[in-house]
This record gives sequence, structure tokens and C-alpha cells, in this order.
Amino acid sequence: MNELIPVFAPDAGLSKRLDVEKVVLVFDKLEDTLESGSSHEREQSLHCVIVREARNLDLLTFEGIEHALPIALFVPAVGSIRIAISRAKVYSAFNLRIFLPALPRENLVHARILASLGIEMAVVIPQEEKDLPWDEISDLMHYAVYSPSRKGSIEPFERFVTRGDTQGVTAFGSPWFDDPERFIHIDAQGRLAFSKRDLEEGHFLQTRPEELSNLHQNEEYQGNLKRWQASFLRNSKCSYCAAWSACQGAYIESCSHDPRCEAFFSEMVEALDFRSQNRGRTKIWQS
Amino acid sequence: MAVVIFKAIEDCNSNCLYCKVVKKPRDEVMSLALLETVFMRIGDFLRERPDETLEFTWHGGEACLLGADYFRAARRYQEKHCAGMEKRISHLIQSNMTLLSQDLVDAFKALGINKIGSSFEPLPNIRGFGPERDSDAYNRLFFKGVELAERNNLTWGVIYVVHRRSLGKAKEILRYLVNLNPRSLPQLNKIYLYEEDEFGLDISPEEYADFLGELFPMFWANRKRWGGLQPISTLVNAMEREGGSVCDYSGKCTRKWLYIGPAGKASHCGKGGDYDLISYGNIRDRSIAEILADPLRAPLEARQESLPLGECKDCRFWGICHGGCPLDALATRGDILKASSHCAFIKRFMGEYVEPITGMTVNQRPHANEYERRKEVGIAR
Repeated sequence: MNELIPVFAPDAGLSKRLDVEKVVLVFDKLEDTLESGSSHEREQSLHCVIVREARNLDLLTFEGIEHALPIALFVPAVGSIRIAISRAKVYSAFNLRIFLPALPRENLVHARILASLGIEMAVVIPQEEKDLPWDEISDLMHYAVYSPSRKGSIEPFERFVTRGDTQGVTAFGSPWFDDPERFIHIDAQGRLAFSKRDLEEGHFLQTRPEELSNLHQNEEYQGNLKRWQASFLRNSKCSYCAAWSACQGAYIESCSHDPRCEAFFSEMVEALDFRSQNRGRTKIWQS
Repeated sequence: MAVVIFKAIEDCNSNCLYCKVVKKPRDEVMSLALLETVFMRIGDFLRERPDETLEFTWHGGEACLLGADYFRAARRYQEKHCAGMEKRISHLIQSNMTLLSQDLVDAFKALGINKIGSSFEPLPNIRGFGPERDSDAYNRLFFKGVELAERNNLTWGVIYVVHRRSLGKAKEILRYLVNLNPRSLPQLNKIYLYEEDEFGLDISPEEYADFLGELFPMFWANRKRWGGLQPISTLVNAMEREGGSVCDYSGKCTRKWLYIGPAGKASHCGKGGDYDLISYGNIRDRSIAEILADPLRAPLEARQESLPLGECKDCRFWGICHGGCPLDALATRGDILKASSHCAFIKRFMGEYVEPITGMTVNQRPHANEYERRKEVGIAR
């Protein structure tokens, strides 16, 4: 079993409490990464940094940012696509993946354009959103998986088709760190949660950061891994879904409002079957 | 390979609607003395036949009711009577998993059991505890069993019994079962009811064909993903002459299968024992070699020679089903020499679903001299 990677805002005190090899550090601004992790790297190596920017991509300059620093850059939107296109070489020069939310819909178009320029992209498909643009997400997935043109990869599709389990289930949200088998989120008070959403909604584990390295044996952690069983015990529609292996009921809130998620995730499973014969490699922190 | 269907217990903690064992006396548990005799017989059998292997399937009832000590006793008897031959015995177990415990898992592993065959029913109140068949309580315990099995690296898979209430729901039932355990595709068996159909669950062979037929386009479109789906996979492989066949259609069970019940009663297989269709005496009194050579088995063999000359003479599906299960023929048509009632299933499933969708045509009529052919390949007397 792989070691869990904690995701938290830089905090030297917290770092010292963690008996792990790798960490993900979370910043609010790109500039803040200038002093990233150097102090933390003394404790653990850096899997990557997450930057949750409030500003659109076109407003960000990368001055002084270390080129080798692995950055997961979350922005609400691109802003001016023309400006972003003009900076394509700048973005490509960094060890960078740009994350856009799937809404507004134009983000999906912009993700495709920027990927076509060789930039590593991702779209975040939030579980709590009821009106997701499944058709447009599907279009983007088809481009990401099936188009033979040279381009940057687009998550979460790339990881799913290159690392997904054709015989089992695959965590769809892993590229945006929503995967309790890989990442544990920790807040400033040292409270642990299975996802960023759990952290924000106050659903914490009853354990301390010092216990992270033994969390696999923790009863609460084990219980979380069994959450999928509830769908079967309730006979929920997800338990009968053709695309369970891709979503495991993660989008039940959206599905009860708009069942097109089943068609999308079924296509995702077909894409996995298609690509499983010819699997490529992705950079480790981005996978 | 000899196949032993071993029912040391017929009692069960569940009250599944379609389970035959709930309707017959089920209070007997095989004594440890008789259990030791069984392993003594196995030891004798394997010593006499150095090239032979034996598959020992713990069946029930619910085998977990026997308790871990019972399985540990079996291990001791095996060590005592089959010393040096343990590797020629493979143990399998069929269990509903609701009573699984770490103690039982440890005892299973000591016997070399690394896989549990189970059953599951997504539709409510068909499998379950008590008179109301509490499927919710049943399913919760089943999941606990699954967790325990997986934690101990025991693999598991399920058989799904297709019954009247399943009809029209083939795709959703299959999806549920696949989602439940993506690593092991379910086996979809037709319900067998040879007595009063108290709950109106029985289905015709044609209805069973339509149930599987609904799934066949999906199976054929992606055999990489669905290749393990039984019995569709077996039938398609037989069509493509890739060999491999479940017992019902193999035509080869005559001298290989043996059922042993709680009192030591020997029969042909689970079906034969459950419904008292055929009796080969008692393991207390007879060796396994004697039981496998019982003269009552001769008609089963003769059937493989007579059917191609009679009822199945012009049947192009002969090579796929070989007349079907002889015990089913006995139960449904009163004559072991006749083709089984499954004939209608094979013809409909292959003719109306498999052939049109695959574009292939089955032409596996019996050979002109089926007896000579069987003799050549070593499966005739």
C-alpha cells in the first residue's frame, strides 16, 4: 500500500509532526510559492505545490517562480484566452498543470485550446455541482483520449485511461487530490479529512497528524474505504449503473438531478478499455 | 480429476426462497468419525491412482455453520490419511459469507482454500434471514464477510440464480453484481426446481435464454471485459471449439463426480443428492473407486452413445450441450437416457441470440459414429 501524502498549507510545526516522506503544500497565491517549501523540504520532499488562485490565469505572472517546482495551479477561469495563448511558451517552460473548474462552460473550450498548445491541463468536475455540462465534458474527454494530435494532457481523463484499473474501480478525482487512498487533507488546526470538501464542511477524522503513517490501519479510515457499500445496501441507482467502476457514486448529487453522468462515465470506461492496450507515462506528481 | 461435492451440513442460517435445502430435513451434521472416513477414502483413492487429482468442494447448507474446528479436523484427517498427497487435493468452498470469521478464514487457509464461491441477490427479500427473509440484515453481514475475505487475500465470486422475478431485469442485475465485485464476473445459473414451485419462481428454458440473450450483445461487443461471464462464455467457447464446458453440457461427468451428504450418502452430484435422484450407497461402506464405478452410472455413459443416434441425431448443437445434464433429464423427463430440459434453452439462446449477433453458424452435429469418436478421445468405455 502506498504511503498517504498529506495536503496542507505551509506550516513548519505541522511538517515536523508528520512521519511521511512526501507532502503537498497549498498556497493561495502563486507568488507565495517563491518561498515554498524550502523549509519543509528539510522535513519531507515535495510531491508538488497546489496554488488555489482567486485570480484568472491571464492575470498571473510567473516572475521569479522556480521552473522545476511542480505546481498544480487552480484558477477560476482563463480570463483573456488571447493573453493566455500569447504566454503559452511561458506556461510550458514550467513544471505546471493548470486546473480549471468545469463551470463556466467556456473553461472547457479554453482547456482544450491551451492543451492544444502543449500545456498540461485539468478540469475539475465538482461533485457538489448539480448542473454539470456532461456533454461538453464528454467532448473534451474525447479530444483528450482519442485525438492523435500533439498536445498537453488533460486531466482527469489522462490519468484515468493511463492508470485506471480495467478489472476494478478507479478514483476519478485523484488528479485534483480527491483520493483518500493517496491524499489526506489537513487544516491549520491539524485536523485530518479525506478530501478538500470534507475539510471545508468540517468532516474530520478522529485522529492526529502523527498517526498519518499508520492511517491505513485506522478503523475510521478503513470505514471510509467501505463507503461504497452504502450504495449497494440502499440499492441506490448508482449500484445498478453501467459506469460504477469509474465513479463509485461520487456524482450521486448531480445524477439524481441529471442522469447524463452515466453516459459520460460509460464513455470513460470505454476509453479506458481502448487505451489500456497502449499505456503511456505521465510525470509522477501529475499522475 | 475427480470432483467431490461435500455436504457435511445441510442446515443454513439463511432462508432463501429458491434454496432446495430449506424444504427438506436438515438437522444432520456429519460426525467427525465419518469425516475421517471420507479422508481415509480419499487417501485410498489417490494412492491407488497416482496420476489422479481430486477437487473437494465444501457445500451446504451453509458450510460456515460447521465452525472452524470442523475444518481444522478435516485438515488433521487429511494430513493423517493423505500424507504426501495433499497437493493433489484442492479444496473449494461455497458459502453465503454471512458467518465468516477470522477463525474460519484461518482454518480455510490451512486447508489451502483461497477462494470463496458465494451467492448474492440484489432484489429484496429473496435471500435473507427468518420467515420474512430479511435481505437487509443478510446483505450487511455479507459485506462484513467480503471485507474479511479481502483483508485475508481470499478471492470471492458469486453465483446468481435466475428466477421469475429476475426476468426483464438482466442488465440491471448484471451491472449490480459486476459493480459489487468487478474482479470476478458472476455466474448466472437457471433456477432448478423439481418440486412444488411454492413461490412461483420457476422459469422456462426459453425464458432463461431470453435473460442471457439480453446480455449477449454487450458480451460480444467487448469480450475483453466480459469474457468471464458464465455460462455465456463457456457456450461461446464451445461454439468456437475452444473447449471448456460446465458440467451440465460436458457429457463427461459420468465417472468423475461424486456427492457425499451429511450421513455419508453418496450420489452423483449436488443435484442428484439434493433431490435424491440417484443413490450410490454410502461412503461408510464403499470406496470412492467403487462409487465412481457404480453400475448405476452406466446409463449416463450409454446416454452419450444413444442420444446421438436418437433424440439428438440431427441436432447441430450437440457438440455444445451433449444432451445436457443427465440428472436434469431424469428429474424432468423421468428418463436419464433422454436429453435434458435445457435443450430448449440451448437452441433458443444459440439460435436466436448467439448466431445472429456473431454471424457464425453452429454445426456440431454428432459424428456418424459417435461411439467410435468418443472411444478415440478416451471418453467411452
